[in-house]
Amino acid sequence: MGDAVLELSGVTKRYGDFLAVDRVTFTAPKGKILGLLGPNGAGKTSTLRMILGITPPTDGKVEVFGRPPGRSVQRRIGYLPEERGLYRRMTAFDTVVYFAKLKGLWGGKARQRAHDLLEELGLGHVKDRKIEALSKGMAQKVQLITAIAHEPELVILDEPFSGLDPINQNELEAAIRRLADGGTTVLFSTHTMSHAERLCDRFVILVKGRKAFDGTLNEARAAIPRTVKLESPNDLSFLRGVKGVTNVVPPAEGSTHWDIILAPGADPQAVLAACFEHNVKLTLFDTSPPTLHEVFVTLAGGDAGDAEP
Amino acid sequence: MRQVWLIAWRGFVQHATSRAFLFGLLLLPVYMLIGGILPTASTSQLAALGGPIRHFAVIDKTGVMIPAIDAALDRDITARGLLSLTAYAEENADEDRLRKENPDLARLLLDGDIDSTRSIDEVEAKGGIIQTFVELRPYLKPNAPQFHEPHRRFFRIEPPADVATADNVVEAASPYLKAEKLVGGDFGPVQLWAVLIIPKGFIDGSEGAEYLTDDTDRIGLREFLRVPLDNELKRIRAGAYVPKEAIEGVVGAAGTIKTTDPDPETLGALSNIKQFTVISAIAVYLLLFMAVFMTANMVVMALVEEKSNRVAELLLSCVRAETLMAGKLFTGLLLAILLVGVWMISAVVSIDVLFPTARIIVDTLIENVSTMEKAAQIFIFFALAYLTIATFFLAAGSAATSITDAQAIVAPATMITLPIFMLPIAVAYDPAGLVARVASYLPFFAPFTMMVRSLSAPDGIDILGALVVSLLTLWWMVRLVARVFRSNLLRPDSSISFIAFLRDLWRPRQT
Repeated sequence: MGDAVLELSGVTKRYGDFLAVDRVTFTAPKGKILGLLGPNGAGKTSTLRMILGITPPTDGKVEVFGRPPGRSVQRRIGYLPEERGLYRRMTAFDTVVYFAKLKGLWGGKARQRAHDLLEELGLGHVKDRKIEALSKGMAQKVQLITAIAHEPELVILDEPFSGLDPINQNELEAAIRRLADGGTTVLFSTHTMSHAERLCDRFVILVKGRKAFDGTLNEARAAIPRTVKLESPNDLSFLRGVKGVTNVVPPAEGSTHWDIILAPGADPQAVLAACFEHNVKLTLFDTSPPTLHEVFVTLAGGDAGDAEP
Repeated sequence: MRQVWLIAWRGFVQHATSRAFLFGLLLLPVYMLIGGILPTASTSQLAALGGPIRHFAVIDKTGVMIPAIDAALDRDITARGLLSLTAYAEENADEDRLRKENPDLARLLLDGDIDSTRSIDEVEAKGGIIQTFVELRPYLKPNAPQFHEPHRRFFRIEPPADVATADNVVEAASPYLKAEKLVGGDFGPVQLWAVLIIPKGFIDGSEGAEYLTDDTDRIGLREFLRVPLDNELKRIRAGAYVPKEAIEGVVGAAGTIKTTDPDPETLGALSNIKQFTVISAIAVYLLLFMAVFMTANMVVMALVEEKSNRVAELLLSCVRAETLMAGKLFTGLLLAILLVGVWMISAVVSIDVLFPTARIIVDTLIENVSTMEKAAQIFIFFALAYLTIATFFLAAGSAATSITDAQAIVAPATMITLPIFMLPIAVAYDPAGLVARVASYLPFFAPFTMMVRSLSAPDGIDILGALVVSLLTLWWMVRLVARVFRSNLLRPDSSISFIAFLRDLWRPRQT
């Protein structure tokens, strides 16, 4: 298992006739942030629940800290579920203390951690308020604190940014970075690519229950054909004849740029040279590497669904 | 175990401080209070009025004792009436006016010795209690409540013919004393409480009287009869010019009354212990029944809410499903103990304050659970009984995904559990019988049966057997419920029917 905190080998999950996860294999290295990406219904939550031992895999093997999920590793994991739920009539402080105790902390330590974390995430002034009296963003922060109060080695966050305003999203990103800087392994699922692109060391992309990609951002970019973006009042269809160009995509409706798809290893300068040869007037020549969203859309194809840039 | 306790305690605090629970907790004591206050008679009057009615027969072979007994019965009603009227006068008479205008009556009712022969003679001379009350009436305060004359405690009836003429009276009287046969009373058939046999030799002291009863613990009637027998014996011997020492020796002569239970091996229908066991079993069952339904419903609804708002998923990331279920069960148990505890204390206080004549029930209860071992035994089986039945309800809650679903499942599930409650009531009638012993080893029935049997003295092997069966049943049920819970956790939007619930219990759906 090496330094991998988490290892899935050929994991499959079926609910009756429905195949939710199909032979998924990946690992999560220690102290890194791993993003589990995919559109809704891709099998992300099912995968996370199997890692947590809430539900067993139909087939394949899940190992957390070298052991099957369950009681022996439960206290080393922190979990933030996708659908948030807390006891509405408990105070924020009592909620954090209660879940910290369930995860093995004793009274004094649990109270100290609750106090420190609530202050750290800016909730010190509302710690004695009931959950039902907190805003959605505040309640979500409380839930994040319940997931990390017992200082877990692996934190699993299921769609942690959903429902948060941009300010809270930034605060949450900072909190996740602090966890990783402290040596905690973070696995989070999302269908918002910008967060993943900024935060993750590695990605696993699931599409229809199957793993479509597993690697770093650079590896993801290399996994899809390189694209050159051009803007011009002229017709650029002639570029199909240039060596190394595999496809030329005219501007879509509402767009102004052409996508020139290159073969692996092809030089974008050849495209620029061909444009000069044909006296084409260019207003944009962009050879930036593809974004994660572009990678995701390419890999997921028509199944990208509700994925957000 | 710490996690179980954490979950149990959080749930207990949440529910025990809710207004709905406190309302249910305090409503029963309020009902008890209202039930006790409704009768308008004062406590002293209740004391005088209270007490059971006993019918007894006398087989008097001397031919001279029955008139003395009948006279004593008449004086008894006068004496008890005087006791009641005295208490009534103290509370309701205008004392100053009574003393001023009718000093003789004031002396009798306010200053007199109510137990003295002279006072009773005086009342009889006035024509009885009612006539004395009529004399008192002009001196009552305005709006004084109505006076109730105490009822007669003891009625002498003629012995059944087959008993009166039997060679073996003990054997012949047995079915009557065990209430298997009734005898004719003034107002229809009644149960015969006792038979007093006075032999011919009772007069000269050569033979003792015999008192037959099925309940040798309650001897109030025997002690009452002792007095006229003594007095009449003294009177007869004085008339026969026997020496003074022989007359004095008569005092306590009725102490020679031999008390006989015709069937001492079995507890008769009128037995003190038997009556108590049945009454207490039913009372405990009613309390348990209410406690189970009230608390189990609260826990089930809380579980359904946790599933629907997804707290359950968060909990399952912290603890195993079995731990979560055990925590929920103990939440219910703590609530049930609180409920039953408060209700029982209320019942005991109500009886003590409002129904002093019923104190025998409390006294017998305390007597029956006098040792720590017995109290612990009853508590353990109560807890196991509660946990066993609550797992069934929790299974219903685990299968349900909405409050509506839960209600649809819990209602028929309740009906399924009814026999588990009912059988041990039958056991109460014969706690050492075959049915009781077999039920002690049956899963689900064992803790309920043994809870009832614990009031008597069950065999040690039965206690151990019931304990093992109960614990294994509980362990199996918790695992089963955990499986049902897990299998339905990931279906927050699907509803489940009662039939599907039973199918899940038998073979939970794949998770």
